[in-house]
Amino acid sequence: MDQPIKKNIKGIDVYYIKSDKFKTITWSFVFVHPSGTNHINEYYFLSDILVDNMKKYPTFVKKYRYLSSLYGLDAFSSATTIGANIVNQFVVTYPNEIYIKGEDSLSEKAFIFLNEIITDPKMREGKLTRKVYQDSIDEAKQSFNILKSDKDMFAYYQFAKEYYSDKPNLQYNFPDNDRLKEVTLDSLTKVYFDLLDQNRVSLFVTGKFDESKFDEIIQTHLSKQIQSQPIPVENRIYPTKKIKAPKMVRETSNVKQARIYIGYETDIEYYSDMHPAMSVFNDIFGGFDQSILFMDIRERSNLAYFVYSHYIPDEQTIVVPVLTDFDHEEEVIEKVKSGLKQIQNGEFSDALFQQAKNNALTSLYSIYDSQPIYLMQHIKTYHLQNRRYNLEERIKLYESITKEDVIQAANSLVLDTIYVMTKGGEANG
Amino acid sequence: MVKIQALQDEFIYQETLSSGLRVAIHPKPDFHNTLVTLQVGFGGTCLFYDVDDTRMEIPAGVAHFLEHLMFHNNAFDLPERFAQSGAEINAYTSKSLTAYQFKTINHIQSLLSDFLGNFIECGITDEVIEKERRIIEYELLMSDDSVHYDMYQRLMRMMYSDYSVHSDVGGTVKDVRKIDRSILEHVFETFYHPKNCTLIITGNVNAEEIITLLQNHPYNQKIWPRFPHINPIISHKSRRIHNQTRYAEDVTEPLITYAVRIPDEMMKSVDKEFLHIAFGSIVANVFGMGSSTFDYLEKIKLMNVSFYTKLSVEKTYGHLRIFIQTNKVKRYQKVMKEILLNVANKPLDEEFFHINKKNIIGNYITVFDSLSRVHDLLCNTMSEGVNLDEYVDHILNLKFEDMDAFRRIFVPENIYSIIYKKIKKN
Repeated sequence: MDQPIKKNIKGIDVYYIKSDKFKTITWSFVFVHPSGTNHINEYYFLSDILVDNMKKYPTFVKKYRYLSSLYGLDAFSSATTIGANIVNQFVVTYPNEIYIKGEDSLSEKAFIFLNEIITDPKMREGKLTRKVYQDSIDEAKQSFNILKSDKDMFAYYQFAKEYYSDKPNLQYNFPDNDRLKEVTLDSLTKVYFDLLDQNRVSLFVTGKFDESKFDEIIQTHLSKQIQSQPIPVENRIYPTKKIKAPKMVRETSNVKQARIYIGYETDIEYYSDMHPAMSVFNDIFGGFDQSILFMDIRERSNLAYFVYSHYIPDEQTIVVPVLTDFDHEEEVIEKVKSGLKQIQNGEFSDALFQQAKNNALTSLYSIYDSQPIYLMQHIKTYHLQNRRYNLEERIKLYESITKEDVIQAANSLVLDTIYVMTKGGEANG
Repeated sequence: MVKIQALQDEFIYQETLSSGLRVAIHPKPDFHNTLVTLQVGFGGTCLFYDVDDTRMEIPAGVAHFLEHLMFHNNAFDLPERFAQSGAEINAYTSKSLTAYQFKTINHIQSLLSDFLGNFIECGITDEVIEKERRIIEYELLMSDDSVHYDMYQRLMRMMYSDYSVHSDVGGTVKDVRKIDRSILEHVFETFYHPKNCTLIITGNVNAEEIITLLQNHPYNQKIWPRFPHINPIISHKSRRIHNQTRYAEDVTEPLITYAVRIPDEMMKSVDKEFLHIAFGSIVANVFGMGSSTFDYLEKIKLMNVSFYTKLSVEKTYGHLRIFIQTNKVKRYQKVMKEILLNVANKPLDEEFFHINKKNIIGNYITVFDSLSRVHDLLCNTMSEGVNLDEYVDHILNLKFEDMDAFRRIFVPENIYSIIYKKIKKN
């Protein structure tokens, strides 16, 4: 893939990431809100509201049929985080017209449609409609009901609540169910207008295309309503203590196996020099089928079918989920703790270290194979570090990791929360 | 080697080796990864069958059990071997087949060689069998905590009388305890024959080099016994209960599933790929995002984020499921029954049918962006015996009137429903 080309068109930073490898073209508008979780629900609701409530296409039938005529153009949105800022992304992706006989205006139509999503929602008397507001609230409640009917998802939700209970304003839940009452039609409308002129806005384009043609499409069709402001992107800082008493929570539910979630925090920051070592540590700990936890808990002791560890780098967290029977809850928890101790003491083989490193490298190379992931890495790096995502450099960083780096990463971990959902009645919450 | 043009710059090479193994290779030289899948025509529904003239019966869960064991066949630790090269290996068992897969960015030749070598002979020990039995029991217990899984299983039992159809792919703990080494060896000998397998490779490979490797591989060189005629035995007795309401503790809001069973005569007489395409088009026309039903349900507030449809067309059975989680049970039931019966009684939306064709062309082009999606599509078309280039033509060539025969199955005798409500506490 070529290096990204950055330019400014009509006050918006535009990034072209050209590639001959993929058969689709993607346009992605990124709106960065001021840092913090204020209005987290409004930002979350806006994503769906704008995509699903276009004035020009008032029903699903009209919109979907128009998109079908554009060869199944996919229009979607998301609310996510970059550092401490929430971002809304509005995206259209469609097959490159060079693969369709007699079609040469698909990109122009796609960009017009993307602008319409953002700037032309259904409004009444200067506000988003009451129906749209009520549907968003109902949908959030419905989604929470769906989550509650899934034991694994609900147990993780309960774990995360506990894990973040002493980390105020650091949990970014989309939506935040405890704060739904704060959302009003007025707050939703205000956030929508802020989106248009109080956010930092950038546009990312990927695929195989003619740059001058796309410059012209943007010049001609970028809506004047979209204005970019210099909103700074801040890092999310997690308070970490080397010594602390872990939170222990045990809840009961109508389950046939216990769900255990063990959460560790680390002071290794996202994209810091030690980030790659933590990533390799995670693979050694429980990241794949040769890892210490998988081999001990599943393969040797046969105490579980499912045991893994997950590294969430932007939340400086490692989570270990395990499903086991009720008689072995304590044994499994002890095995997780001793697995970590083992790595902290450097008791893991060179072969396992090399396998974990190979895995991490494979994952990195795989970024080249996915246009959406490659694009997301660029979006994050440009916003957090104001520079292009350099995959070659990251590969070199991972190649240079030593066993000592992994031991150091392991020693940065502090046990924060042990959550167990076990047999009994209904879960609280 | 047959060269198939799947898109202007995408080619697939197909070959049947002397052993009978069918191979499809889709080179994607710009990509770093390569995906490999070996599909064995032996899945969860194969419990009663004739092998030539001999009637056989095995417990549910055998295909899945063997899938677990093949990672440790002949005392060879396959996951460890793959981990050494930074490759991922995985497997799954469906109702119709068992699939073994790996993904790698390097050493494709040696990995492929070791991978295929694992399927030449069956050498499993009792120790490994017992270890995996315990792990499988844990795996089966995981589903027991899901009210959605319970609902699906009950619906399957309402629609199908045959245990091989409605049982879980993994069987029950009781089934799994009946499985022993002799059963596992028998099914390996019977089903893991090259003529019953397909190998699909997508990614950074050279097709000619791969074919040469495969032709010279001991797997292909082995003198395999004759592949017997295998005839699965399925009972198609119909069930009388079409609607059921159940009460469960774990229900936060009522769960409703409607299902339309594809009649057995149709399953037996119509080509599976065509069946899939025709029903897929009906489902898109009636329940898809651009359908008038979707808008209608939205308008009368009977549509929400939990709604989905799922069409399953397996070798011996097929059905459509429509799910929602809602408090408006009675209204939803009335409306959904009407919608389903109208499929047979009222014409489908012809304008939408034609518009949707552009959508299909676009989706087909888009698939080639993702190694895993195009690989899965190739696996599916190979298992249905269709070439990838023909597959999209078959969809585009479907005529509006072709769907008439299929929409007529939307009649009460093929419609089922199950509702889960929360137990009322005294």
